[in-house]
Amino acid sequence: MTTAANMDAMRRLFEGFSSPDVDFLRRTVDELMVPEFITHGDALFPLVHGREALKQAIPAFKAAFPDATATIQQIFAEGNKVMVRVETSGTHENEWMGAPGSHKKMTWTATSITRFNDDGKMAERWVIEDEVGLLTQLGVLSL
Amino acid sequence: MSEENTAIVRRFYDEVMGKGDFDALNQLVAPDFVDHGESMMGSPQGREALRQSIVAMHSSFPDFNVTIDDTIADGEMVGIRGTMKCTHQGKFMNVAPTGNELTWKGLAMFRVVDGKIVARWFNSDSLNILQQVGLAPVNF
Repeated sequence: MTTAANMDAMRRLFEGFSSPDVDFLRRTVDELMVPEFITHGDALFPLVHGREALKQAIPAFKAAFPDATATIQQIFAEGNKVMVRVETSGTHENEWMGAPGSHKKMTWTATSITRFNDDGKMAERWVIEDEVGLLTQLGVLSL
Repeated sequence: MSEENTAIVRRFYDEVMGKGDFDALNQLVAPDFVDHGESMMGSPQGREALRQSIVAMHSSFPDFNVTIDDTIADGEMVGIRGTMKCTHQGKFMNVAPTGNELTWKGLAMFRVVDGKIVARWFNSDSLNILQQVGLAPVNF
């Protein structure tokens, strides 16, 4: 698959993430990722096997941040990989990470590299989110 | 161009971040460098602020070094996936030196123009660092 097609797939993933329609996001995940998709994450979510685990996490996150959207700040690609920096923002309406809904708007960044297979499906991803930033805004971490 | 730009970023990690070579910093980074960082490490603006942040980091972690696990490059943009390692030998975020080895992952993008780094976007697993020095819990 071309780097242009892979970058379009990344954009579609973030469009799905930014939709209030949870089913649309689930279908987007199924379309774009292989079932055995691997996420190499960070302190809070170090390793996630499979896209089912990602889909299972969607309802709780969307309940916590119903209007969450992801904006791509930078995106580029080489070979079978795409690198992205995004900013996610949303209003904290319900419980997340132990913090009850505050109705405050929160913003945090994340950087990722996604590896695509020869069929243009996402196979593997390395991602780091600004967990310190989010946890501080949620009031469950203070430095 | 992306091979040359990737070489510049490798030198930045090796000579500037690793060895604290500030002549190399002046060679490799533009004076009006723009940083897009994250909450714990901040976003030092300009080469001078970047230099100060590296000095501060080396005072906490004199043996700081980065292993580059993967690179990705296209035109002016270079991306790095890396593993940072150091020993906690100096005060860090008001925590007295523990002597512990710390390690964490980072993902960073650089824009390189005319042989100089002009901008960076990064996320580091800062929560992991805080957990390793006892400033953050493991569970939330």
